[in-house]
Amino acid sequence: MAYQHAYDSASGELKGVCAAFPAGAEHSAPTQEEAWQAAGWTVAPGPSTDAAGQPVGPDSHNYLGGALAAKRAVTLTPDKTQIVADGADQAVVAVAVAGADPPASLTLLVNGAQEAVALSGGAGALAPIVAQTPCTIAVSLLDSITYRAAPVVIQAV
Amino acid sequence: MPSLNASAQAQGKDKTRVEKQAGRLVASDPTSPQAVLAALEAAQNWDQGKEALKQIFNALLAD
Repeated sequence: MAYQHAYDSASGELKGVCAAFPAGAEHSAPTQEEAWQAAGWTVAPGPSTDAAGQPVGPDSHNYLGGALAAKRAVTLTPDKTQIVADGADQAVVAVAVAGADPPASLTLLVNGAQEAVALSGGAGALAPIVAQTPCTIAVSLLDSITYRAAPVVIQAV
Repeated sequence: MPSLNASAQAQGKDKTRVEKQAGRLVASDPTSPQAVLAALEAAQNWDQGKEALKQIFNALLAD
């Protein structure tokens, strides 16, 4: 089966992957490819799995540089996922970027607030997180096109 | 019908604010029962209490 990829050529973000609509087949509604083109995205044939056998999708791949590539894996590891909301108990999220030539820093989103993390050899740590009231704190990557990481949630109780 | 506390806690999940203070990321939810009580306790008079209540309800209703 042939597949089509849609991506934003400006940002390199992979927007979607779908089975190619059979050429010449009649249709009354716009095909997925036509809808993507109408949205201004580049549509091109592509594989459903990459060279490593991993499924291709917006969460795992990008078109940075104009070619399909796997997003760089980042690991966010909290030392605890629950803290006491007393302004003193704290959680530290370790950051690790896989692969050679890691960046010198990475920007994370902590409940929407940007926080830069300095990396040394691909490893670093987010500033300690404390809470003054019970709340939920979500930590994720700002650049979700280049990198991929499972988000971290810390519960303050 | 959920209690006011339960509603506030449920809505508060999306209202967490994070600020950098002394090298730490300090999170707080201005609509949490603790923050509400602290704001009311900090009020020195009725007008301040009324203003605190207004801010609390605005935060609860804002989305």
